[in-house]
Amino acid sequence: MRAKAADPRSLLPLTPIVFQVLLALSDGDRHGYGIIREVDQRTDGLIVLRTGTLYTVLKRLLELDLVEESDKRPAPDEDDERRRYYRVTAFGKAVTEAEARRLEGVVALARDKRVLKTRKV
Amino acid sequence: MNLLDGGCRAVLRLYPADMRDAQGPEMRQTFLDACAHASGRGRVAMARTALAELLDLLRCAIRSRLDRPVLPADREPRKPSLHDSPKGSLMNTLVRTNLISDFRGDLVLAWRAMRRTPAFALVVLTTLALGIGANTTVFSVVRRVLIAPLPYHVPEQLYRLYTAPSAADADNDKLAAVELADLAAESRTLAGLTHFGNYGGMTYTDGQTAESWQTVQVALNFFDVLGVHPPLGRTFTEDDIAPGAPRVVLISHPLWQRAFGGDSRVVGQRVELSNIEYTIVGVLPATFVGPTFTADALLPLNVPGILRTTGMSRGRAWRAVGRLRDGVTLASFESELALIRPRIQSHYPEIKNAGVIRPVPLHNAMVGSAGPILLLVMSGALLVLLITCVNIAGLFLSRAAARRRELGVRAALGAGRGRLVRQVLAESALYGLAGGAIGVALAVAMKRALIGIAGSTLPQLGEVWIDVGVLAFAAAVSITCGLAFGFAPALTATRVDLRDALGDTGGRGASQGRTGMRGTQTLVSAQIAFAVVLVIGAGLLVRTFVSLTRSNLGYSVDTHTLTFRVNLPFARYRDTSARTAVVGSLVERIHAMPAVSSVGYTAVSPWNGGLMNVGFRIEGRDVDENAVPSLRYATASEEFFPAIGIPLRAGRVFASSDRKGAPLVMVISESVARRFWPNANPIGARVRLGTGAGGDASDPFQIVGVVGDVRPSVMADAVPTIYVSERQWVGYGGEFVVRTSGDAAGLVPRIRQALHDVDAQLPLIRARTLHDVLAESVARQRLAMTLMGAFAALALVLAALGIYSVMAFAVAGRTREFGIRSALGARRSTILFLVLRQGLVMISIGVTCGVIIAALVSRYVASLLVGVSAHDSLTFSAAAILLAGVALIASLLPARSATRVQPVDALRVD
Repeated sequence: MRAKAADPRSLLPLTPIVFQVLLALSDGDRHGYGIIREVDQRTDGLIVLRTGTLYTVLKRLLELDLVEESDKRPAPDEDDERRRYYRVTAFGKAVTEAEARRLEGVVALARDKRVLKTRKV
Repeated sequence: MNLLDGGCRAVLRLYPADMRDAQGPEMRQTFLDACAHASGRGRVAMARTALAELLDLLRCAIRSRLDRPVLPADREPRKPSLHDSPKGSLMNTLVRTNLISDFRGDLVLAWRAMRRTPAFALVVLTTLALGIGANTTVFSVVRRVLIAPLPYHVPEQLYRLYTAPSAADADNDKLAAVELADLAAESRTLAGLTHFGNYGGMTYTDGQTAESWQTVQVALNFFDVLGVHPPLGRTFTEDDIAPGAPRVVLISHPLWQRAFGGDSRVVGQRVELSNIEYTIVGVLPATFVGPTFTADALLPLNVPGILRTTGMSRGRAWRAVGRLRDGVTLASFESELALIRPRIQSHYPEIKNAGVIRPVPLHNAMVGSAGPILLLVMSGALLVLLITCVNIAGLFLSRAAARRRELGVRAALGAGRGRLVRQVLAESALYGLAGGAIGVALAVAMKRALIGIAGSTLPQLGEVWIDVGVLAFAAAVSITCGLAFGFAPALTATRVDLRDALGDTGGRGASQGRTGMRGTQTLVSAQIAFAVVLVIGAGLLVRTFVSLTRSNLGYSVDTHTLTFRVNLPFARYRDTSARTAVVGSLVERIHAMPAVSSVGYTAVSPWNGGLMNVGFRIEGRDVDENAVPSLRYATASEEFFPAIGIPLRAGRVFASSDRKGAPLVMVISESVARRFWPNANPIGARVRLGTGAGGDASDPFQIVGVVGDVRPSVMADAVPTIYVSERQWVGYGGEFVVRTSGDAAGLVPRIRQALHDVDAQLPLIRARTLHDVLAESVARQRLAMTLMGAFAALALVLAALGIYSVMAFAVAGRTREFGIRSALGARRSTILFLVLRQGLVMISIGVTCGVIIAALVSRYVASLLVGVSAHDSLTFSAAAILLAGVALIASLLPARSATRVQPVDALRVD
């Protein structure tokens, strides 16, 4: 499935949910429910990720090699053998970055057109 | 949480296997985490989250099945034309041509429309659910009884063998052992021929209780011919019928469950049946049904033993089933039978009609009269469904007019007509499916009720399932209905003239177009017509039932007379005097009970199918030895005739002096007297019994009385019967008849106690009133009548609803007109008549068409009618008046509201 030589930009644009999942994994490995919590907190509940959606997305991301299973396990007492941890691959990082850049371009355009008036710090 | 976990696992099953295996457990954990987290915010929050999660899981399951793209990049670059054939599955094709997603959009729109009009939705869904529920229920029975193959190996090859059809001969389905042996030896078309008989009740005692088992003896090859293999134990072998061999029995699956708790160690267990020890050698399959019998247990039939005795081998006592060889047709079997027949006839001149054998497909023989009744009920159910569809189509049509504006707007925004038709169709399909789902749920409940009504009147009813086949039927019916009642309205509603819909005139809500109105009126008339047909059908069945229950059986069928059976086991009651003593003792005890006026006893009751026939030779008359008349033979105690209510016509009934040793006496029924003594008094005549040359060696019987005739069932003719004194011919048990002056059924516990006191090992069998005996014999007609009555009532309600809603809508649409008329001085009665006239036209067209249709089709049910003609004018006119009356009342309500329209209302309409 993996298109090794693929240009990260060939996958753009990402859907908001896919982008959020990649972002949630960008600063550390998480298990499924961890991703849901992270997205929920960071978007202030704006994006509510449901289980079915998450795993449908994860399956595709695994297939495309944007994400892989992590062998890192937490302390055994917190562990649950049913949980699996995910981490973003180098290719995944590249795609995430490409999408962020694309959005940056969109935002810049909005600013040029004066849709966005002030620069947020 | 367990519930949630279960729900989650159920939904996970819908995912493709690879995804389920790889991620299933983890998804479950995540789902539970999310629910647990939400539970911190209260129960409601948790329920909402759980529901949202489950719906999301479901949605994603469907997406993953459809291979929907997850990332935008997954989409293949768009082809310039939709007509290019994309690669991949049909589903993919549909997805890519946007049919599915468009249809989903349609469904969303339909769902919104449904929620906007909850009252409309409720009416539509209720009627649909009733119609589909009724059909699903009846179909599940029809499928089980009429369509499902019999539980035998290649059942189409099996035939029941009957003898010559003859009204006078009650036993025309039995053959003699020698006939069967010759047939089996000579036939080249039969792969196997087996027979069974000797139906009987055996008393099972296990120390504490005594119960009666229905038993049948079957030839050793019974299981091979039918292709039945016991799941537990073995079938019968030659060793089982060897002289001195231990007695063996095969038990039915229900009996195994009931009496032995399904214990597999039952094989090899010894049981006492009628005081003789038997060994259980096997258990029949759960699916087993006897070919034209029901039995708790099967016993081996010693066929070689029977063939060795001249008397038994020539008695027509056996019901036979033959299996044709592969590739042999019924026609070639029949022509072979015609060839073999003369040879059998010449071998056994003493058997009447020897060798006359008629094969009947076993399925027909088993289904019997249940077939036409079920087909009638199924047609009734389909008619109800048709009315339902017409009714809903009418509702949709009425509403379509109201939606012209909405559809006009959509058309103005660029929706093509096809798009609009699809939207309306999606809505009706949604209704169809939702109604179907509720209908199936209803069918499960209805099925239970149906089994309650039908009881044992239909073969194999115990195992009716709402299975995949039935569900497929329900789904097909639902979708067909949805399309059927949606199509006409869809076409009408979408014939939108933009100016009309949005412009001045249409916007005022003034009118449904002329065509639309005519369409609705046609639908209402059609509904009334179908309802008339159903009501007439139900009416004919009610009249049949009434005439059946009122028909004279020759004895009194009331609730004051109780009957029950007691079997005396041969092993303990070998002695005649012991039998006489136990019967006498029981009669005496029952006589002592309050309100009992007479207690009679007979070896064979009039309603029992298994009749005994004997040769009848009048002394002093010459008789052709090849044609000795054969008559039904029964015994009777002194009080039997008064107890059962058979009137004495001449002479006397038996007295206690007619005992063993006294001169033999006989009582004959009227038809015997008419046949043999057309112009003379039979009293005093002497008769010898027996078919053998010269009759039995015993003394002749003297005729002492003539009693009324009896009919074995409401559907049968009177059977000429001779009675001998129960004290002079003592059977192994029989039927008791207890006449009381009060409630007979209340006596059962006391009688059971009395029987227990007389002999604790004798069970009381089939205690019921004579009224119940009659009710059981008309159970099938009752079933048909009840169901058709229910359908007719439903049709009546639907038709009334239909005409009411159409009239109400028409009145609402003409508010302005009525307001103006009343402002111009029209009287209330004028307006009332104006509206009613519209209803009357629909009603008269509907009723007339209904009567004509009923007259055309009623001859198909003629075979089920008794005592009433298929064109019974009373039923026809009553149904027509009933329908017209109900429809008139239903249209009167809207008409009255039209008379109350004030001139000012006309201005408010807009």
